[in-house]
Amino acid sequence: MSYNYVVTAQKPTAVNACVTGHFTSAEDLNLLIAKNTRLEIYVVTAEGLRPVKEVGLYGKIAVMELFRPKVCVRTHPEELSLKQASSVRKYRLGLTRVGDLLLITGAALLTRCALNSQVIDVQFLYGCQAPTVCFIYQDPQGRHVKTYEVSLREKEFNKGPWKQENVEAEASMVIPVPEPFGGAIIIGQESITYHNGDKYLAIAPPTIKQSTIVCHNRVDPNGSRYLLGDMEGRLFMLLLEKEELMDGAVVLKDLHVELLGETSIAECLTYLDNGVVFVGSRLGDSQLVKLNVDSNDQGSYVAVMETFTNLGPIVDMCVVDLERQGQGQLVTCSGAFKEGSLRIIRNGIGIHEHASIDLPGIKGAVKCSSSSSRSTASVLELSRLVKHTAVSFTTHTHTTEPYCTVVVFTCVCVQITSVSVRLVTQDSKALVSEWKEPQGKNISVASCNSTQVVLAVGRVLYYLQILTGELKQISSTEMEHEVACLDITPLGESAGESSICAVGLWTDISARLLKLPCFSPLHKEMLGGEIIPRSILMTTFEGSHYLLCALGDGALFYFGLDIQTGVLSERKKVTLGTQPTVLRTFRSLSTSNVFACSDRPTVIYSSNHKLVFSNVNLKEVNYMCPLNSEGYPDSLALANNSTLTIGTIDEIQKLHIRTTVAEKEVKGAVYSMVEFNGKLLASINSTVRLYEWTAEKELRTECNHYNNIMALYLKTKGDFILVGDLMRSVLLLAYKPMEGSFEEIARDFNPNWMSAVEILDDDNFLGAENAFNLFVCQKDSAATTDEERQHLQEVGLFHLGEFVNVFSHGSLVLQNLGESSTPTQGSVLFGTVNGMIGLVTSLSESWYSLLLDLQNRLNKVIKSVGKIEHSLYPSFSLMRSGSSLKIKLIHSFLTLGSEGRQSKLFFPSLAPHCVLLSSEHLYLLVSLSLKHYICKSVGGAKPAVM
Amino acid sequence: MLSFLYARQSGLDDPVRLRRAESTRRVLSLELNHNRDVDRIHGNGINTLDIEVIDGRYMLSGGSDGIIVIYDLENNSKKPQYTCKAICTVGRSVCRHVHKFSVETVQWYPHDTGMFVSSSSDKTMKVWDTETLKPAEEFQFDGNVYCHHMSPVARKHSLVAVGTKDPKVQLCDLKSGSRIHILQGHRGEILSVRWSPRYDHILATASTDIRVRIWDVRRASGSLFTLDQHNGDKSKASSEAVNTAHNGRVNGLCFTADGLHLLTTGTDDRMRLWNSGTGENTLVNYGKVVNESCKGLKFTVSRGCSPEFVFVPCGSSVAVYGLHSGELITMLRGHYNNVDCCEFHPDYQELYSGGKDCNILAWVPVLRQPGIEDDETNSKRGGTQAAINPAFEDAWSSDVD
Repeated sequence: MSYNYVVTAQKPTAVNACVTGHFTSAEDLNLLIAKNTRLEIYVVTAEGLRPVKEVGLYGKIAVMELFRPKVCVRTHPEELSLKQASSVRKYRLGLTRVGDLLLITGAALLTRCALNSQVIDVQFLYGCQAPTVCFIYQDPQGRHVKTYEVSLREKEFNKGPWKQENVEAEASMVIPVPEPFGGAIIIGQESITYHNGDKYLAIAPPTIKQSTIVCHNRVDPNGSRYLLGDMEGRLFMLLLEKEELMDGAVVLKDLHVELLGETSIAECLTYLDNGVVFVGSRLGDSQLVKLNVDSNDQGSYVAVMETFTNLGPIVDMCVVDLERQGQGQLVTCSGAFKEGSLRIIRNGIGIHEHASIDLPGIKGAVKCSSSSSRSTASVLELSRLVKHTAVSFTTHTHTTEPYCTVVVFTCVCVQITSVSVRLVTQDSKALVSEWKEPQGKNISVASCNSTQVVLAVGRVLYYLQILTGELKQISSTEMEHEVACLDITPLGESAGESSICAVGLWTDISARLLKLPCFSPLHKEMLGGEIIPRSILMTTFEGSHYLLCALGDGALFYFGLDIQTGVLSERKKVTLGTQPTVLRTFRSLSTSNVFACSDRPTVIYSSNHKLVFSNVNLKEVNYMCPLNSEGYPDSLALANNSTLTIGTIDEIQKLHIRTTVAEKEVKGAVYSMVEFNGKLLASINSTVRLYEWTAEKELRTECNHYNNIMALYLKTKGDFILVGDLMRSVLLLAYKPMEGSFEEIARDFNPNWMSAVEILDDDNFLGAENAFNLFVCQKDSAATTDEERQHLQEVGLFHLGEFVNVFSHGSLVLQNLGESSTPTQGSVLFGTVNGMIGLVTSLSESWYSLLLDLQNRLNKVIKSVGKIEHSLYPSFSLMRSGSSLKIKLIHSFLTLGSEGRQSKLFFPSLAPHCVLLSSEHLYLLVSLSLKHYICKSVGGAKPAVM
Repeated sequence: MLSFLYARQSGLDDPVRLRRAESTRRVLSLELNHNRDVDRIHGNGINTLDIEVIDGRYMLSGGSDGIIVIYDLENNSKKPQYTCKAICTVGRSVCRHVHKFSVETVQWYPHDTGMFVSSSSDKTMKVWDTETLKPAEEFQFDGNVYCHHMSPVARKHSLVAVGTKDPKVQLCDLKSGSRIHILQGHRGEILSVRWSPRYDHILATASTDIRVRIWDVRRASGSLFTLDQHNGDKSKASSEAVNTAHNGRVNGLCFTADGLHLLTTGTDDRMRLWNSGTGENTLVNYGKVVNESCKGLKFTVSRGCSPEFVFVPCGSSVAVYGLHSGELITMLRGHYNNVDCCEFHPDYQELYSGGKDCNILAWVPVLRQPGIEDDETNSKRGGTQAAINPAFEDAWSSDVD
């Protein structure tokens, strides 16, 4: 039996619907964005959009309208969602509002009224006595517009005030116009028509013929301006010109359409305020655009203010390891039409580059905090920093190289060069005190904090204390071998002073801990191998102390450290790069992190008491130092051989997407092609065909398999081929190289309309189908009869709620980082129409049952938004044994936060719902959570879970 | 096809649209296929067919010779060509419980393939255990049993509606094994009974008294309404023809898959489409639908297509009509004698028909051929297809659900 765990790596990014209005409170202007199963709520502020809340629903959002009773100060998100949800589940078409009346209309309902016709669009009209719907329908004669009054008592439709037969053949949208005009605007392919029963006004502006208008939004409450968006991403403004009659009545005089400019291909539009429009897109990135009064050089009135990345629709993708370091990158074919792009997704930490300067010959970076006025502009700050750096290096070429400069007090700093340790006042740069090795030997390595300096001259270690205006040598000792690296970072509560010194030695390749000031050995750890330690660092993550020791080949050892006894424990090793690594600490978002500088820069941090190693989107960093100045708050200065870069680190674990554009053209109905044992395997309509290369470099058919309706998808493993059929689920074929033929091994006889397939292992096959479900089929090799062997058994079913276009083996995380404790095997990524990326991974049975139990209990504890039962969500009515876990709940559990988890799950008063988890189990959850989290933000990915 | 796949992939279309369009294409390309045969077991005409909905794998047939056969429709041959094997037969040689006379109706128990029900002109209805092929229950009636039906959706009751020579419709409860109710109203033999696929308690019955009645079986007093071909317009009908569905015996009933409409056939050679909620005649004109059957006629509708189709036996052919347009799309010719029943397989858009020539024929969609042929067939087929199948040319998606 196969047990699988399905997890979201990247939530859907395609926008289905958006509305603006007062939602979180009467004063707040909110933007609500629906992304398939998720609803995001923003507040519109002067600075831009501020996210308020994001909620997940057990359902797909089809239509969304803001519904606000007149006396409602505050609407709970739950209330709104409930309405959406019910509309999603029961109706297809209309959810509209008239005054304080919310009416939900379904196409089927209207279809009953107008037999043999299709309802195209339906809206409620303004300014009618009884609620009145206006709809476009199609019958064999063409398209017509009709109105119906809704009788609330009989719950029936009655004949409405007006109708218009034979409107434009492609009329697709009804826009109700508020008072004083009333009536409705009908949008067609070529024309825009206004109707209100008495008046009829049509225009056919040539500009709109080019494409199809797909969305609209009213700008003014009085309905005099509308935004229209078409399939080419063009934005129009529709203006209703009014005319005042003699009797004071206001009537429509004319309609005008003006092209404003180009945006992403809009799925929905909503006018926020002050000329700012949110363009929600399903086919490309969503945008926040500003409508200007004057056009720019290109004649466009539209200026893009902000872009929201959308990966959907992910039509295809593959995992590649470009740098061959076990670090997967995902390349997706995203977007459609003009928004089509190839996007590269990798996990890791992003550095936003703020400034960089070419500065050849950088040997190190030191932090220099000037006491002079900080209120200088950023440009100035930069130049000062650069100048300082430049100066310090130019001075070295002449004199000596400083290893380290530390601000000790407000006005004194320690400068360590290869010949001496100097205490310098910062303002006057006057030398206060200087220490030199008695024989004048060069200092090879040194480390200092605000009160102490430890330095090594060959095998001899010296310990100095920094006193007011004086450097005092306290002790010295001679080690067995030459010292390679040193650290005296103060840990724990011993503010500013360390009682331990960490030392890495040449020759015996050991890391040692010595007690200060006497240098008595506390612990000795042999690292093994022949590569010397190049950097050693003591640090504290989440209250736990660690010793990190990086070797010359990019390997990193890390240990738990007891700062009282100096004893090391829990030795672990990871490979970070291939070059000597330098470790530096920095703080980001008030947590401490370690930056490992090497050819593959890495940020080390801790999450749930596990060390996480996350890559940085930079090529090579030799030195790094944290920088916190007015111009560059919370920044890092990063240097490689030729450039100094200043940047900020973004929130740990984020998606990084680079975009390029590519085109490909294919002729004929070849649905799928794969390389297969050096040959080409292709599916052509119902045939699976194997081509071999002839000596003349031509493709020759070797064998065929015909027993399909339409073979759309192919996957191979060894000599096995998995075929995904249009409507006949999956089929397993074996290639017989000797006979040069295919043999049918087994088939899933369920009528699944496939959208993607993948081979999990020799016996298990993963499929995604038309109704947004995933399933796992299993080959029963042990079956006794031929017939049973021919059947692939469906062993796992999972309702994903997303249309999966592609599966791909691989992971976005480092595969070889240390020993993983997660009890999962294998990893298949999937990409969906809405830009979601997810992961399917196998679990053992015991973990499965544990998690299933947890899920079931969580079901009872976690309230669903909109009160849709989780159990109602999966449309697969048959949940058989060995099914995949639903991650949504696990995710909810994790978002509860540790406090919530405690109270909700482990609190005794909730005993019936309690899950008793052993520490081991919690450990697993945390591991999974990390995996989850990673994926959740896709970049993140797998923080090698240690 | 590629454009449909692209639209599905990029999320421009609801995935259901491709499915509907392809299902429609397949129905339009149904033909008697040399790749598919059905074992010939019956020695006399075939009256009734039923495919179970659980796996869509097993088909029942009932013949005038009193025999019931179960076929396995699944292709285990590993080749495109195969014969649907008869896996068991309730025949005279093996089973003493076999019906003595012609089997008029067979139906799988809708929720489990472990049981099926058959009724016969030997005045009995038998409930069979599929495992043992022995009757678990037997109902005796006073006259020939023409038809019976179990609700495909009801979970709260397990009533079998039975139509016999008697004008009273009988309701038998499978739970208690007794006849629990009769529905009075008709004045002739009951030739067809059908439960609504939408509502648990709604039943339609057709009779030789040329009327069709709709019942709510929870109500004790009479039928809900009677279908009127003239929609209440008295001027068009003679006084005795008021509230009649046809001008001849009504011998066939079939709800559409969504249950919103009801089709009836009569010996006046007409087929009518009714709004099942209001009883209104929709006046769709199917033209002359030749109907010589003196017993019940088993016809069917497509499911999951856009637009939907009706398959109705018509002499020795099966006529395919557009459900809402009334247009005759094609005649499936292949039987040597009159066709009495047909059954649609919604998973694969295949049609099985049985006739007096003792054959069950499988009508299978033509596959899209690979290679050069593809272009030719497409261009040939394309013209007719685009005309009939708006799903292939139109941008709007159908929302009949």
